[in-house]
Amino acid sequence: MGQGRSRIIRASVVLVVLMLAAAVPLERWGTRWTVPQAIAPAASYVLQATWDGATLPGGPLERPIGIAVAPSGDVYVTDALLRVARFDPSGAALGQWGREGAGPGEFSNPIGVAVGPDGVVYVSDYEQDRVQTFDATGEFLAEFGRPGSGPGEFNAPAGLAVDEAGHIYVTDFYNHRVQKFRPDGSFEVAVGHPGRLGPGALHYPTGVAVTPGGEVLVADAYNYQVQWFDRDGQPRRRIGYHLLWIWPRPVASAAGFFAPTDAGAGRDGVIHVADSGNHRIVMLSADGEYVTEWRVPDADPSVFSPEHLAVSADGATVYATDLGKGRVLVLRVNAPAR
Amino acid sequence: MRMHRRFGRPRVGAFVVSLLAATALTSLAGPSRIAAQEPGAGVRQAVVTVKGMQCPFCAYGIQKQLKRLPGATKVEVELAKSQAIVSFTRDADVTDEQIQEAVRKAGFTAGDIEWRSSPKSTAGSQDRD
Repeated sequence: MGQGRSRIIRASVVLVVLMLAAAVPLERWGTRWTVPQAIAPAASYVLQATWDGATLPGGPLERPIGIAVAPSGDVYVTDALLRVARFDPSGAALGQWGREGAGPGEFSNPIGVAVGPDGVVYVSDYEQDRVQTFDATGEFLAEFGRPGSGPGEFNAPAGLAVDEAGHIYVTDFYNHRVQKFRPDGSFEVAVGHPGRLGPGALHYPTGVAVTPGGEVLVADAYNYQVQWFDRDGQPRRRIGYHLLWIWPRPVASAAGFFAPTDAGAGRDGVIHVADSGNHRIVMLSADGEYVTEWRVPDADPSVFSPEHLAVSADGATVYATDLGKGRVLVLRVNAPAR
Repeated sequence: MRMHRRFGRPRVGAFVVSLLAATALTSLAGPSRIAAQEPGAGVRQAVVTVKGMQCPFCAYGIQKQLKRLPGATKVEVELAKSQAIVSFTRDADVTDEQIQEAVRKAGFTAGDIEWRSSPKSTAGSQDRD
């Protein structure tokens, strides 16, 4: 009886030791969250304005989600009224387009929006599994994509980005990947693959951006991280506590992101992340070091936000959608001194 | 004491009025109840509870899957209430299991599913759809 009890105790001790030994590498396995450093005192975000789109022809913004800045400085926003709204940099409504349907210029659920260097506007449709292109005023130009999981096919295309050469990057939410297309809309390469662990593994990515250096930033929302890829789709590095799903711990600024749904970078290379589950925007250096953050002061706790963000060309302004509150947040960026 | 009396009388009055109103509503509700039991006589809605639906991308994924159900005419997601409301055509024959499968395809687990008849005005607008 006594021997049996001591065996159980010994086995329990061995088990605990083994678990602890496994926990340490598990904690570090593949995680590249090397931040935070001390918060840079000079760096900050300042809320400049909120836009509700009240003067839009079709009425105020309703559940805005996608956002992009054109080279001209104009801002494009998609919302639940199945439209793309256009604002000037001061927030004055310039117009809108879109209606329900499956034809040219029609939508079922427009989500992502991006603007190319030539001013062409790209809009993804989450339900129709296609991307449509328009001129700056909303005149339909072309479309690409169809439902499926093969090359050039989508299952809920969300965030979009366009690089300097006109290549288009599309986050393919339910296919757990990003697809890169040539300027003519033909498929070029898949960026990332479905998975929870390891470099390049993506799990419900929602946002994508291109850095001034040509690297591709992917908001890998449900691996709780941001990943960098080169322009050929090879993974480079990542930050965020991506083991959150198996090894939960608090996700304050010191620990990592909670459903980061978008990222963007200005010409200065400073990176901004929409850490939607934490209702904040996080500023990172070009190398991915934590710089500072800004929390949405009156966020709707029942809705993750901000969803998507866009950075002005000079990097001085961040525009972010706040779906729960039906508005665009306009933030001035005080970037860290180099 | 006086205040109590003053408020006490209306309470009795309100009870009587409520009783009469309830009786009247019951008689009015009769045909609707019968209509709900007879397929084709009323538009149906399923109110699906889905926990953890705070992320709009996930909510829209659920909406996309539910819209594909046979006879689904409209899907609304209420993030704050963690609910998806699916409206079906009169002759739609959809089961709880089909709804659960659709939600599962979107990466979630469906909770309670409550079936109800649409209000008359809503039904009218759906008929036009």
